[in-house]
Amino acid sequence: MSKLDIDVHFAVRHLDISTKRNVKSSFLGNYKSVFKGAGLEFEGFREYGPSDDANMIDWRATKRAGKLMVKEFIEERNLNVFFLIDGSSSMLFGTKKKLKIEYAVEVAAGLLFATINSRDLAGYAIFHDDIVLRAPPTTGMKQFFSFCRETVNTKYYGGDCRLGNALKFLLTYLKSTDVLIILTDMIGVKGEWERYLKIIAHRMETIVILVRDPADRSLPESDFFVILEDPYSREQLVVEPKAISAQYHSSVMHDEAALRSSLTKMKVDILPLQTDQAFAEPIAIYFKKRMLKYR
Amino acid sequence: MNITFLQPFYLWFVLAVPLLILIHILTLKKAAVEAIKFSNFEAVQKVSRGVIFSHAYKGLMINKNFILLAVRGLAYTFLIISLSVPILHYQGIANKFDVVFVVDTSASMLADDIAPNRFEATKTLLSSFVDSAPKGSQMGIVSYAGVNTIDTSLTEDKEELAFAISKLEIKRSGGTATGDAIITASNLLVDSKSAMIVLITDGQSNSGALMQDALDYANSKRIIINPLGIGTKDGGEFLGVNITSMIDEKSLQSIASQTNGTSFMVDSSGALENAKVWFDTSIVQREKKPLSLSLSGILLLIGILLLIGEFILLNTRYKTLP
Repeated sequence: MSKLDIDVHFAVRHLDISTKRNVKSSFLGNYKSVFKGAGLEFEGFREYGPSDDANMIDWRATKRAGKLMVKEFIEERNLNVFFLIDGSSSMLFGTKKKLKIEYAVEVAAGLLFATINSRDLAGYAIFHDDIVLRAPPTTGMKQFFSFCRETVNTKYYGGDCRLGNALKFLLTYLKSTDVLIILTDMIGVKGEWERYLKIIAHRMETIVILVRDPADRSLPESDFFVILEDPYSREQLVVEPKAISAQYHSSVMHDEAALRSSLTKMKVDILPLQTDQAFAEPIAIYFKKRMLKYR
Repeated sequence: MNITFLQPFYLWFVLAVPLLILIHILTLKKAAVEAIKFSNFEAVQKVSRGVIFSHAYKGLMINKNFILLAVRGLAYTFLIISLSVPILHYQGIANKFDVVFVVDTSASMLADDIAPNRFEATKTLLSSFVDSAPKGSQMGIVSYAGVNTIDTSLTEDKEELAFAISKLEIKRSGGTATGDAIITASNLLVDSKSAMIVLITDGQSNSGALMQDALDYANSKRIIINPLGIGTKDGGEFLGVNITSMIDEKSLQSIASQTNGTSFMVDSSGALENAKVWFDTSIVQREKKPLSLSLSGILLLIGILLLIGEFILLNTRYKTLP
């Protein structure tokens, strides 16, 4: 396999259609409102006036001041979004139509297109042991076409998942990024990733899109013994799926819940996606929730 | 009891089996086992401990490998040994006497006085004689009319004898050269310690060697002749022609007495059953004799069954994916 099977047009079109259904407006035209720092820059608080939108009341400020206070924003500025894609060996796995990496790249393509289409800055990088491909945030469709052209090349994929190394690099590489979107399965992550993720989440809005295959959560049914191999260590194991299926599912869901809890504590948002389900609808629903949260 | 091999050269190939096993063991660890790459491997590993834990080169895989290897090794061993044609020699109960059946196949045997006709009744009787003989008894068949034919030499193989009986047919050569047939049968029995001829006929000898010469020859070889006459005194019809039985009971008795044998007359369809009794009491004398049995077929069957068993194990109990 020399190229990934990625349908960019499908990704972009369906993301837009789905968000129109859920958000009642085009995602591509209104995605900025999804991100809290987007579009308008916060200037300060002022007293509530009769002409102000009641939704703009900030209740914390009101409590402090003892009178109704609203947030004041000035002028729009360009959004700066960076996509970090996990290209480690575990992402080169799939029991359905798409490998996890193909699915992740399609998601990133759709979101990157939305960013650039709004004349905002978008950058991207692929990592496994280290960052193996990077493009700094910039505007223009040329960036989108470069993304589509380069990410299908399989030479960028395969290796350990050293998220910590990638985040450490980005701390110095990204100067004025508003949003970091990490597309990963969070499987086999090595190194001090939690430490660097905490620092990054403090500096910019961070979203982890957790891309998983159905087999990452539930073992396929089989009456026979199955020989499995670790994509990282090449260690092998003979298992009887029906004997461990229930425990496997339970253990995986428990670990996922722990991961979500951990990320939430770091103020990192998490959006779980599964490769056997279209991503447009879950993304649209997720962003709708965020819009309600930040407006 | 002991075993000899007719083709001992093939036994050298058995040495290849332990060599194959040794090579298999040496390459076992180095052989890459085909496996499915599974991304959430560590999660599977976590829940597998204490339930089913086996590294690909230990536990189940090794059990599977060695059990299947043992089955295959045994199969090859059995197949190779079967090629060497092992013969088992043992003491068993068989007929004391080696017997050659001398069967009259002249045209007169088609008479229908013994149902359905003398010839078919003879074949049926002959089949029952062969079936009732103890396993390991050496028997042969010579058929004759104007000329005689060795249908089968002395053999223990009852299937071979049954096939020869089924192929018996009336000879076109005219005449009844009983003397010649007796001499031929005597020659078949020349190496036998105890020998008998069962002469089944419906008439007198009318061509070939003189009967007395034949009897003298048989006596010189110490061969007992037991005549069995078949046909009624009234005779029967053959193609519309009445054939009167030419059996001379006195002649048959004379043959028997000159050779220390016993005679019997099947002069009606009802006497056929008595003929079986006569055979079992007068012809068959059970005693312990050295017998031999070819193990080739049994070993071949076991080898094939083991290979089938291995195939079944590979596709059921020890089936793995991939």
